[in-house]
Amino acid sequence: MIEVLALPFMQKAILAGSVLALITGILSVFIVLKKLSFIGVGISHTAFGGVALGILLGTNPYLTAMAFALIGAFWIGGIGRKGSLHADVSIGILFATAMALGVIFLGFSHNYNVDVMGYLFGNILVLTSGDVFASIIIGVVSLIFIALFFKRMFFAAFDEELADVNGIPTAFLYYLFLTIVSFTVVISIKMVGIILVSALLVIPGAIAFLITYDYKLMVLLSIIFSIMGIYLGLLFSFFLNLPSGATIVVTLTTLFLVFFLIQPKRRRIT
Amino acid sequence: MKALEVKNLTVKIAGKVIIENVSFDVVEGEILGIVGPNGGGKTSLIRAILGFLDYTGEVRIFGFTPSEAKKKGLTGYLPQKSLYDPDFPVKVRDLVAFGMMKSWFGKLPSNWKEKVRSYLSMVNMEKWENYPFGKLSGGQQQRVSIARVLAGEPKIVFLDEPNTGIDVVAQEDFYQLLMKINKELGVTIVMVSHDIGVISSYIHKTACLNRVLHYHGEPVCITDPELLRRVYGSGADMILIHDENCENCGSVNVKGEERK
Ligand SMILES: Nc1ncnc2c1ncn2[C@@H]1O[C@H](COP(=O)(O)OP(=O)(O)OP(=O)(O)O)[C@@H](O)[C@H]1O
Ligand SMILES: [Mg+2]
Repeated sequence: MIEVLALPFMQKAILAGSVLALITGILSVFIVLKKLSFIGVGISHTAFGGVALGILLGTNPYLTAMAFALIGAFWIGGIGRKGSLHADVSIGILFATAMALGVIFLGFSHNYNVDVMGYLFGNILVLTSGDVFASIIIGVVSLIFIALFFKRMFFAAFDEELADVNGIPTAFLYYLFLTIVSFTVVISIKMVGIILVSALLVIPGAIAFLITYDYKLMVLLSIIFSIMGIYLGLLFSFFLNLPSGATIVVTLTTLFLVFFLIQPKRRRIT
Repeated sequence: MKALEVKNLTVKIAGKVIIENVSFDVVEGEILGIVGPNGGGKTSLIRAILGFLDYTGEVRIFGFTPSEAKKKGLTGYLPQKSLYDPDFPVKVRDLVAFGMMKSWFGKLPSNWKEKVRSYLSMVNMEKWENYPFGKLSGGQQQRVSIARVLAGEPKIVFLDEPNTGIDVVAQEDFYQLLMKINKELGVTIVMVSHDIGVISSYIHKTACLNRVLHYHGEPVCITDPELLRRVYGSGADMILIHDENCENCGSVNVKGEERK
């Protein structure tokens, strides 16, 4: 057990995984409360189009993924805020289109050495120091912004118009949130992959939602479950020789099912 | 000082004119009651003033545009319908504290819990501070929402049917509370209500809205000045009232006294 922690690739995985768990733990609370569960799916699949374009152009695929993720997030957010269509409709249109573009880009690239599976499902056990560094930078900046506006973001999640009447910059906070989600999706591509990141953005918050009526406690619990999911998933994947991203997701789902069966919130109101 | 100036306000939703060329003022410290039939545009008027609906014309709140006034924390709003997820994790205490959060930055004062308690006691809800807001009854939620509005210490509040769901016994307390914040704190109140018979003795002005604002310096519909005084009380220094375009308004205005 201890020897495992001494392995350099394991240390990198734990460090970057902890940062990812912390941010997705917080973001998933807002995603669950704002009923935006599909936003992670939408943004991450859009990022796939960017990855493919990066491969085609021979540039760093994470940069093009970032650009695509941001465009996708603002598209979803913009349509959602206009109120003319539900977010799920715009997400449905967007992510299929971006995936289609991705497949077309890959078709053009004739680069058959590309590890598409790696982008789709990730591998937290093969991170470079640069990956870890990037995730820490993005994590810290995101946390600073969230800490700065934490209560205001909750007020806006509860009722955006009421927050607006109080002079709270609700549009800014909404787009800030989408930007942080986009960055998080991109740093998580290496770790858990495009397909699985949406689970990290929903399940921890969903478990916490089942437990408490206290929003601060909900965030704390969500972070704890997120970290548990990543640590336990890493351990299982290492010892049972399973793919890491998938094991993390299944671990989180198992935790969710346990709390769904217990239904703590239904038992006592305060 | 004019707390609210509305000039030639026209609101169209999907090409349909909801409010047409409405102009009126509210002086600081006044209570304006807006009455009118269902669908008359009362809610739309408030939402346009607060910048949630596109409009043509001019709106000034203490001389500022709606968005400036909101940024300066001058406004408070109690919406008409509030359907919240009963499982949303916000306790009564937290919701009232949210009301104290303004503009971009700034923390809650260190004594925020005491402040929240004092606002909750104004609406007799202090015993519920630790309860999930979504699990309260409709009327209880309405009271807590009023505490939330007050916690923001606004200069002008827009209350859209604030007495909906508040029980008969509490109604009187509720109006006394409005009077109190109006008199003691000098808060200007713009309030929509169907209960014109009851509110008329508390308010300073009435606006009757049915797409257009039916304003007359002299009431045209109720000719008997005695009846007028009985219905509106002596505080009625100016009365905005209906004309022939406004079908349901006459019976609303003299509710409980006489129906036209
Ligand atoms: N989002 C919308 N889309 C289309 N029409 C709308 C919309 N909102 C309001 N309307 C229309 O605007 C008109 C005024 O509605 P509004 O809610 O302002 O009336 P109201 O006076 O507040 O009525 P009530 O007494 O029932 O609350 C109605 O005819 C309504 O159908
Ligand atoms: Mg209305």
